[in-house]
Amino acid sequence: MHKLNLTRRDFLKTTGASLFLAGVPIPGYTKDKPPGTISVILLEGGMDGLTAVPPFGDPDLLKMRKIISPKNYLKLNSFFGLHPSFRVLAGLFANNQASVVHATSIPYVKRSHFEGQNMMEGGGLSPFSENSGWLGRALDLANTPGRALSLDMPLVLRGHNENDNFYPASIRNSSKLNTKLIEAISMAHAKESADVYSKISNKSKVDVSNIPRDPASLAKYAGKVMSQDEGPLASVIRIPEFDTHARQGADTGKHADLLGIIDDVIAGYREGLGSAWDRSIILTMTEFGRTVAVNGTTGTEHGYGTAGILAGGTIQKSRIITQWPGLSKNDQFERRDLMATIDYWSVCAACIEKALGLDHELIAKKVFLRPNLPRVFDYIFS
Amino acid sequence: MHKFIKINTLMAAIFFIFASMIVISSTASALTFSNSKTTSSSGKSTKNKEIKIYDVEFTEKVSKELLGRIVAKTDFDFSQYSLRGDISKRCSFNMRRVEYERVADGEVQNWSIMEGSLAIKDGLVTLRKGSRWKQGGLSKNKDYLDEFNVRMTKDGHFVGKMAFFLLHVSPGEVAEAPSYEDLTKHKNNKPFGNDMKKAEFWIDVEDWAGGVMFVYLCRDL
Repeated sequence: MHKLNLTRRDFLKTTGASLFLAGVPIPGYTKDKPPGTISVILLEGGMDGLTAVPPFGDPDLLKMRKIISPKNYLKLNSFFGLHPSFRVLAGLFANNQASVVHATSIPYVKRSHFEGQNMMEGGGLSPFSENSGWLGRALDLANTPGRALSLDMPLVLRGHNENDNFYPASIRNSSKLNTKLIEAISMAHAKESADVYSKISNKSKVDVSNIPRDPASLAKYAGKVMSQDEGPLASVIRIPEFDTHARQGADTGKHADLLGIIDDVIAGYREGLGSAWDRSIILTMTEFGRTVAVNGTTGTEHGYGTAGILAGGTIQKSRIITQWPGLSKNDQFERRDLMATIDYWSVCAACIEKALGLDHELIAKKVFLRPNLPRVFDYIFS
Repeated sequence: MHKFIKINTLMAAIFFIFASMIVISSTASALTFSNSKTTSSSGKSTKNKEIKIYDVEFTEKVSKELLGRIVAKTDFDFSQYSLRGDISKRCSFNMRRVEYERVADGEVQNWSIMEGSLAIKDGLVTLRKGSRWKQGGLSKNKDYLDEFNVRMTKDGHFVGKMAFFLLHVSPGEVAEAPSYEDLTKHKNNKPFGNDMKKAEFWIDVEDWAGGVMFVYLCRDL
């Protein structure tokens, strides 16, 4: 009899994540191949930055949320700690390959998942204002047409016309199309139609039966593919279920398990990228943080400010970057949320600048539609 | 009476002006509140006025422990073994699952979960082209054959670490990542003798099952 040792964390690991790959350089079209790779981990539901990177140096932390604050955090310095779920990330901190931007958010304050997630991907001035995504626009600027690996084209990667989709289904024989027939049809058609059939034929030759579905394995697969010479430059992994309104937990529990999945994803990327890790940057994003105080069901509500986690070989020195607003009631946003004092679009812009080699002013204007977006590149990459 | 009304009106006006001043000054305080330095109930200020960098600092001991967490999955400490460096052979092999459910010493199953050929050169053991796992799912991915960090000891054992697929995954089932298992001087091993003809290496995986690697038909590389 097989013994089924399935922990809650193992179960969480097999649910819900999805992977998208894009930004494939095309010989003859992409003049200068960008210097690095960029991977975005979308944390859907609202990640609690105060749990992930507790500011234990702030005396109001325990006054506001003692029951959900981790006790066994790793001290990163005299003010900030790291949740114990981040085992590999802690190692990267020791190796000067990880940083955190704290008290940050995209400039969205209405606390709706629907609007917030759209804005998180769209990068526009307001929710639903853009039909393309910030990462897709950045890849357009870098002349790296995308090839996404997903069922539908995620907003964050929409941009250039060359983007297309392919979903790694595990249905038996679904990848074994009759490519010879497709090639014959392709030859019988005019150029544009022939291109379409040619794409289908190329896609069908890709063996996708071995692509795993748990977040860490998706990240490892993505890393391996991205490490290849003509591989994609950008990947996006979505992890859902961060919306812990009840029984959030502290050192262990719901939110802790999800933070552990982030850790597994980062570990997967590191393993998969191999030597390409040295020119990579990985960043987390979430639509908003969570309230400072605990609610009546030992959870938290939708908030504003949170923490952004960065990892990769392009980071030279591990640090926490913040304009710390304080946690007292008067310092909170609308007397309930961690205030966001750094625009997270600045952080994304810095990561694009590093990975794709684009100029900050161009990124600010064309990707984030905000010509006056502050530049924080030197805080992160110097 | 007229005088009385006049005085009352004047007093009411003074009162009104005074009350207005109080309201205005309270509002002004609220408007300027966000610019003032904030203090927590303990009296210490935690609010920054500009972006600050808080460097991450660990003691040497903590740093060493943390750095140990980012080693590769197949990293193995060979320093405790005397390794052999003068062999140059290629051998065939197959791996079978052994189960401990019914027999305490283990029942070797009569089908192979992995097969192929390997090379032993300068003490390093590598899997040669054509080797494969037969457990379906992710085991069909040839990249996992690179996750094989094994060496030969002077007394004929294989030691090291490898990716291992214990369970078979059928088409349509969720693919599972491998575990990473140690090859050690297992008590059931039959190591190579001087003739380097054949050997058996046992691998513990779960308490109910493991693997046995049969190596045979060895000849010079």
